[in-house]
Amino acid sequence: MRNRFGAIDFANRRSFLRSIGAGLAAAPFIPLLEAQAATPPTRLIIMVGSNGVGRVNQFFPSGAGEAFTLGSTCKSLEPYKKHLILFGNEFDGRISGGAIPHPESAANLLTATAPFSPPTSVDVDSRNKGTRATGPSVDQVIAKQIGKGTKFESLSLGCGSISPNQLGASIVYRGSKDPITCEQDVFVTYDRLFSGVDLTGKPSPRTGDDAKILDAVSKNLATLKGRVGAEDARRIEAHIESVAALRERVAAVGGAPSAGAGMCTPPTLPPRDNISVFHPRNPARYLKEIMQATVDVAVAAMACDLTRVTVIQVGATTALWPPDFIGVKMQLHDVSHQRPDDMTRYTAYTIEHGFAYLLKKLSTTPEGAGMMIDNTAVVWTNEFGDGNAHSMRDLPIIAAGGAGGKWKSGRVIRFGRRRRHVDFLVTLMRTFGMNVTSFGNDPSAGPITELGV
Amino acid sequence: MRHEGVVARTQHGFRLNVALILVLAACGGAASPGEGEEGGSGGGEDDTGGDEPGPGGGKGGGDNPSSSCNLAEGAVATTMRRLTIKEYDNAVADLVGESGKPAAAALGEDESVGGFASNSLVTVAQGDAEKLASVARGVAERAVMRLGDVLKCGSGQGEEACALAFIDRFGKLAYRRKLTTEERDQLAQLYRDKAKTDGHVQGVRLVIEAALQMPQFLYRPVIGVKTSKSGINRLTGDEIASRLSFFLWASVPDEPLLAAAESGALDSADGVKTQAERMVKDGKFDRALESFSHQWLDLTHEPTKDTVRYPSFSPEVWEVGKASVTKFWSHVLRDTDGKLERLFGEPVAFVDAKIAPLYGMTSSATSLQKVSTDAKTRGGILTHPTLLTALAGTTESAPVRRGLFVRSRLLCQPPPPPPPDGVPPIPAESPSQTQRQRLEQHRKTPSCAACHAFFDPLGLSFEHYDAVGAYRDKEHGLEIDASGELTMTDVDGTFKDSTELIGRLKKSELVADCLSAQFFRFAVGRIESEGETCVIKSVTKSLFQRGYSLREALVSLATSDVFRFVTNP
Repeated sequence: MRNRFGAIDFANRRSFLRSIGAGLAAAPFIPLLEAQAATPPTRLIIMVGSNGVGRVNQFFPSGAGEAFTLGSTCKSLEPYKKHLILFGNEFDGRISGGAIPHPESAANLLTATAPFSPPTSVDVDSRNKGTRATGPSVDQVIAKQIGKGTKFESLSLGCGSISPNQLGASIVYRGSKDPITCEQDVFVTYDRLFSGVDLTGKPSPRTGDDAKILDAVSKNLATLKGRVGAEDARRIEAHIESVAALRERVAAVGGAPSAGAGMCTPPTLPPRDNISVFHPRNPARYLKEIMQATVDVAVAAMACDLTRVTVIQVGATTALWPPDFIGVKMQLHDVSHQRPDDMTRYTAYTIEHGFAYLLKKLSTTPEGAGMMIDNTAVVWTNEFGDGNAHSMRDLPIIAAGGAGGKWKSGRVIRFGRRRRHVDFLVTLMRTFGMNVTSFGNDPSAGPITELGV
Repeated sequence: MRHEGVVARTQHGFRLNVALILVLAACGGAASPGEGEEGGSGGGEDDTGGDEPGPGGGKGGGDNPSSSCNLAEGAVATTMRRLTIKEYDNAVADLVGESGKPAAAALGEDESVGGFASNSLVTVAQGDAEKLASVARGVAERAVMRLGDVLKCGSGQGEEACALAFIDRFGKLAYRRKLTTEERDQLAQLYRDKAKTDGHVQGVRLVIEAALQMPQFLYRPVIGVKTSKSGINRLTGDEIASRLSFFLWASVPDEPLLAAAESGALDSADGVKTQAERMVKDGKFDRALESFSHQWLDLTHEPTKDTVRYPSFSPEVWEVGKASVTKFWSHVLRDTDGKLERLFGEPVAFVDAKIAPLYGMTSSATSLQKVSTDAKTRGGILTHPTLLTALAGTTESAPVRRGLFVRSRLLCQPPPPPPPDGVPPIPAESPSQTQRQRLEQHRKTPSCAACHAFFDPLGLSFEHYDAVGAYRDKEHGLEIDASGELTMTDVDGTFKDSTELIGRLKKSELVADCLSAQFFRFAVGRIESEGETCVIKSVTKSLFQRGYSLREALVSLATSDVFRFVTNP
């Protein structure tokens, strides 16, 4: 697609960078320049809780239309009511006739596919670890649509998403049986996003080294690919892509600073080396700080147009750490089964210090003619409604934001009937310009017309 | 036993895997004729028509699979594995003396198959290339600070000559075979370009940093060469060397092993046996023991405990406990006859001041010391407090999980998963009930008992060990009933407690065979096929007659068809 820059090809990231010339400094910032000329891009942020919401009846709102009251679990969202699009307990996820194992709900949540579980497992544990979705997740599909030209097509981040079953607990999928695990360490994410690239555009001192190494690695990967079978060739291809993406990022060399640099400042994080103040891998103690640091990093990355799609997982399915911060010493997964009131308190805590915090950042960061939240589609959801029953009935979904003018917020939408949650995922895709009426292989009744996309 | 086949009702009204029944009629015909001490295929006759002219055909156990099993039955593809986190860290320790375990700090969790880290299906995902690059950079930078040790240049050797010699030596160890001319030139070019602008040390740094990102380092393909049996390839000497070193050392091969590959010695079962026997005597064998035992016993995630109730537990105690497990395994396999009865019965433990309280002992030792233990309550690995801690909840023991562990991990009889429909929650913990009483519904409700009778009693036998593995006579002041019955095995019968249960298990050929299967899964990174099951069973059978020495089992598996050949379905 061509625009007023003339010969620049925005069709995909590689051809784009090639057509503007590899030596062009502002390569990471061209999208900002583009943004300057046009309206800010629309982004997607999905925040996903795990293990259910405790007492389901305390989660959902009462009322209808614009006159609604938040459920007590969500009362910390009160200041952001006008940005919210709430639903009643009318969504169902994967329905198999009863309780669904955690890895299957995690796999189904954003992919709307029937999961695959390996048949010849040695025990339930191995079977769970091998469970995978059989299609891509909605964020990845949307990222392919809108992530061109951003340095990072999407981000997959985790807050305390430590599980004895990391891959089987995955929510984000590049494709069938191809999970993308979330980055747990906010410092690693920060370094990846904000250092190595001087935001004034000066070249990193290791650019030349990295480029040479990566070229050699790519060549050797291609040679290996020719020797192996089809399954392994596919895996090597994914590695080649990962290397190529990294190669493009290090291709930037000196030049003009970003026009939008004023908006684009890396966030301040807690100290790296004082575990009595903060530790990214100790959610039992620091979940609040982890969530907030992760939100800060994600929002800053979007303000800098380093990415337009982010999924943030809070906790993980079958997480074993205890929510010490609310005075509970039992492992989170056990809490979800044995202590519904504590699980409700935990959910309220993550909503307050994670989701409400996210809405606060987005609604107070100026952008264009308004705030970032006007140009963002925000979603909060959870793999289960009733975590103890392992049930994807009454699946909680909260939408928020203006989605670039596409969404009208500040209301509850009720259908008067049950709907599959895939309908919401379809609606999300349509919000980002994809003309679809189905997704994955859960049967969809079509998009949610009340959202007007 | 290893394949969940049709679920059928036996005459006892048990819902049970049909294969379990077949297990008892042990598959007797699997042993090949003329099978000697090596079990499996070593020393058997060559099939005629082996079309590999290569050197080192050896005196038998050569170019084609030799066991009477049909190796290709139910063939499963063997995909290429990527180095696991532990393997990466061990490799850089061996290659350049890196002691910091950088992969464990930076890389995401390994994919596991059958309970063992395998990375045989997972792809390098977004951000992984970056992480691998950043880890490689750190290792390389720290390595050149120890440059003298890393390069080992002779005095008077020019810098470039030294660097090229380094590339040959280091490259061979990192790529686990002799470099091709192109590979050598590629690394040499990286060195020269960098050395020209930034000097010799930086040039070497770049070579190390690059090599650690190359697929030749990160991946272990098993392609092999054709044999006269269609669908079956024999692994090349290089592939065997890698497979052996990651199996028995959890790391890269050393020079003698690579030399054996290059000379063709690893093309024969005898050649493999020679190397394997050397390797299990080497100090590096302990790393494989640690990796295997911690995964088999599922010790990879630190459990949370109510430390008010269990002040003797802490993260430090957990770490020491894991080290104590490794030391026990090393002791059994190195210092004793290493047989199954020892693994399950040896009355020895490795204890320091931190972990002593869990054993009901006191110690002022600052490092783990070998002590004798009471054979009745602390004999063998299954009574180790660290294992029993892992198989417990925050405040209570976990009898169901312990029972599942015995069935799945020790007997390779994994019960089917719980039903999808409305499983009622278990009653809350209570100080007026024992765990056995709490699980009463598992026995009373027929739809629960159908499955739970298979494993609950085995887990309840361990009720004398609490949530942190400490021994207790009573639970909340109540009598503990740890009795039960073992069924569906070759050593069935009643037991009074876990000591008696373990007494039965240590004489079980099923347990030995399961252990062989676990070794296979650890070595190859996937579940065995039907053909492979047959070979593994025959290896076990011949070893079991002499008490099943674990060390011999490892070597026999390494020399057997399942290790030296690969099927391509």
